[in-house]
This record gives sequence, structure tokens and C-alpha cells, in this order.
Amino acid sequence: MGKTGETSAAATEDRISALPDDVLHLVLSCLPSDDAVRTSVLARRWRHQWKSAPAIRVAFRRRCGRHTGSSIWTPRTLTMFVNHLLLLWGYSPVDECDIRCGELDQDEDDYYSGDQMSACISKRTAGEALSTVAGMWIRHAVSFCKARVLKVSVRHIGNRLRIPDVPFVSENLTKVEIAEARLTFDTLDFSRCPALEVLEFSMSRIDVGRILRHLMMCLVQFIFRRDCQFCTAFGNLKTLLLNEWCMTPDFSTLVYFLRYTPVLEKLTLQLEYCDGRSGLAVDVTDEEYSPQEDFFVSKQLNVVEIKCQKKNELVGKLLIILQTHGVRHQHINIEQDFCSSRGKIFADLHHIYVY
Amino acid sequence: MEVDKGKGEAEETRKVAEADRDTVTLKSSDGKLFEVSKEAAARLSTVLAGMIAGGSIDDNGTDLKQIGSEALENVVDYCNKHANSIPSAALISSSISFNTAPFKEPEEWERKFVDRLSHDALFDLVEAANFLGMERLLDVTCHKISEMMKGKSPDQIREVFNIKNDYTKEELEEIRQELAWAFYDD
Repeated sequence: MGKTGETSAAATEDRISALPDDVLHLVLSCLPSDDAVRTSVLARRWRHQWKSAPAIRVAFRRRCGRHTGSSIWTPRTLTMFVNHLLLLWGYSPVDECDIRCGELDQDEDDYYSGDQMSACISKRTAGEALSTVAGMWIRHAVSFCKARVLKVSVRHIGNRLRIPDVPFVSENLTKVEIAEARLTFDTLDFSRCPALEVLEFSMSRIDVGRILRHLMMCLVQFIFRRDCQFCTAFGNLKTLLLNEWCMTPDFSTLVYFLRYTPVLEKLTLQLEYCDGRSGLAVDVTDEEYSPQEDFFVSKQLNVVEIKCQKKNELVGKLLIILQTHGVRHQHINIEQDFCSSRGKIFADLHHIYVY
Repeated sequence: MEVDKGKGEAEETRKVAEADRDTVTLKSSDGKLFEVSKEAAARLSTVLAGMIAGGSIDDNGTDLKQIGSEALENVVDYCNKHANSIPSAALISSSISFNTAPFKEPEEWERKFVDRLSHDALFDLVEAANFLGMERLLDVTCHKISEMMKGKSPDQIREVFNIKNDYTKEELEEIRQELAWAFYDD
């Protein structure tokens, strides 16, 4: 907060408690939920106000004192906090459920455990337990609190949350942003979210299921089959962000998304790790692009952003594909020195994994 | 009832003139007059939009008895600034996600606009925005208030806002126990 933030020294009169309930709820909805809950102790007027604030926000917060600098959230404190919060919240509706607390700290006993093996097991168990409860939080927020916007990003010792198959069924859900998660295609069924407009997965690993052990080609077809079942899910999609995982050898995944997003307005392609690293699925050939099917992209598509780190031969290929399907040149914006806040450690985890 | 034809016509011309004007005049509780762009007023305030559509705007100054002159000046100032502010390129490109977000972060000029206000002026403006149904201004001012609370202890918050603690010691202890999960760093 800036100097001006400390608006005039002391208030002479209690103006804030005199505000109408709706306005207080709005103020509380801008606060992280832990701050909001703690307003209960201010005075009687504030006792239950936080339960009606239309937003759940759990953000990264640094500890003071003994472990200054590390996050206050460990798998245990986070689970404890969000479980209580949602339980007491009950069915009160929220506009936004934003649980993005980044890298969690380790629980106390993990620090001092002498036996490395057992420490390793306990971390693993903590990660699994966290994934399970996170699935319940998402369910609660979507089904009971009727959240319109859902944002989730939690990481533990560099591990992603493995989000269990959550049935996304909601009339209200308009935006989903999931980062640092591991999902399966079963999780990705949004066909029962008719209002969904924005879907973003970043830093996520998407497992296609055990059926496919063999060829990458099958993978593409698999995506096709899966997607066909929820084509309607893309009927309202206006913003789409795709990163490396959709850069399959023949770009058919990208083409597929272009084909089945009839009202898409903004497309972002983040190609941070497509720089010829080994193991990358993309193979840029000199062959001309010959579409298997003639179609044009959404007429509303007027913002296309391509973000990559340096000059990338993929970009030229992408431009050809985009323009073949009717994306206008002036709508494409290429950002070449793109470097997101993601950690480099995850560089090799960026495409679809097949079991 | 006697009908004064001449007066009726004059009234009619005045109404037409009013409809043609591109500003509206608002009158504060202490009688000061302010002009504001009709377009911005209608776009930013549901109450003013209703009054403009319903023809209940008074050419000589529409009475807003609940709003003092300082707050009304800020409201008008905000409307005019809003009308003039050209959204940055970044805003245009991400406008789509903004439309679906329940709360959009205040823009730089909006932050500055509320930062310069005194404590009382801020609260007067919150009340005015609430009264006039100005959703965006209410968001921006409430966001400012939340920033004054963020990360502070209950005692610090009570001090900033002059909130009187009317709990008994026992009650407070009980609530603290009930909400122990939210007081993790104590």
C-alpha cells in the first residue's frame, strides 16, 4: 500500500460499520478469505458478515516470525483452513472461488523427520491427500456455491495437484482457470456447463488415460473422439489458451480446436518450451500445409497472440495454418521475448504424457 | 381544470430542449449544481439512467438530497474522467475475460482517483455510489477500503476505522476459539 493509502490519520467516526450490509460484503469479497473471516472479532456488527461475501480467495501469503519468507500454507494448514471455510460457507453463493496459493511450505514434522524414507512417504501422502480434498473443494465451489469463476493453482514441493475426476455440472460457471494441476481427460468434460466462456489450463499435465500405450497418432484420434462427445462444450468458448501440449506433429489438435470453437474471440498460443528440446512432440517439416478439411475459424476471432521465447520456426508454420483457416493477418500478434513466471524446472513436463 | 395552452407549449419546447442536451444538471443536498455528460451518467449509474429514460431529470438541477456537494463533485469528476479515459491496448485485448470476471481490478487512474480522497470523502463517495447504483465506482471504492484492511490485525483495523469493540471478553474468547482455524499465525 502506498503512502496515500493510509488515508488521513485516525477516523473520528465509525463510517465503515455504518455501511449497508451489501456494501460491507463487497468490501469483504475483495479481501483474502482469512482476513475476511478474522473481521468477525471486530465487533458484533461484523460477526457473520464474511459468510455473505460473494468471493472465496485463498492467496499466497508469507509467514512472519520463525520461517519468515515461506508460505503460511502447508498441506495441513491449507486443508484445515479451506475445509472449515467451505463447511461454514455452506450453500451461500459466490461469484468467484480463487484458490491460488502457489508453492506450499512443508509441514513442521517434514522438516525434522530424521528418516529420509519416511519423510519422502509422508510428503507423497500429503500430496495425495491434498489432491483429494482439492477435488472436493472444486466440487463444493461449483455445485453448492454456484461459483461463476473458478481459479485453482496449488503446488507442493514442485508437484502438481492430481485433480480427481470432478463432475463439472453448473449453469453458472463462466470461467475456469486451472494451473499446476494434473488432470485426465475425464476431468475435462465441460459439456454440462452451458455458460462456460473461458477455459484456461496452464502448467498442467493432461493424461489421456491408460488405453493408449502406443502411438502418438492414436493420441490425436483419441482427442478427436473425446472432443466429439463434448463438441457443444466449445459452443460458448470465447477465450482459449493453449500451450505446448497441443502442438502435436501435424498440428491436428490445434486445427481441431480452431474447427470446433464457433464463437472464439481470443486465442493465445504459449510456446515457451517448443525450442527443439528433446522429447518434444512437434516436428516442423517443410511440407506444405494441406488441410484435411476446409473450414473457417470463428468470425469473432479478432485477437490471436503467439507467445514464444525467441525466434521459433514453429511460428511460421502456425501463421500458415491460421491464415489458411481465415485468421486475418492484422489480428495476429507475436510476442517473441515471452517469458512467463513459470519455473524452468518444469520445462520438460510440458506436453501430453501417454501411459 | 384550466388549461394554459401557451404554457403547455413552452413546457413541450423545454422538454425537447432537455432531451437534446448532452449533459444533465445534478443538485447536491446543499444546493450546488453540477453538470455531467448524459451519456456517461446513463452508462455508469443505473439510477441516473432510469431517471433520464423516465424523463424525471430537472433542467434546473435534479435534486439528489442524499448526496453532499463534495461527494457529488467526486461522482461527477469520476463520470467525466471515465468518459475521457481511453482504454489501453492491453485492456482491449483482454476485455473478453474482463467481461466475465465478477470484479475487475481498478485501473491506474481509478486508483489515483480514490487514493487522494480523505477518509470521510472516501466513505461519502461509497455511499453516493451505492445510492446512485454506480456499480463500477462502488467496486473501486470498496476495493480501496479492503486495501486499508488487508493484512492488518483486528486491533489495527479497529484503529484505522474507529470501530468500537462491543464484545465482552468472554464472547471474544469464544469466537476466537470457534475461528481458531483462521487465526493460524497467533
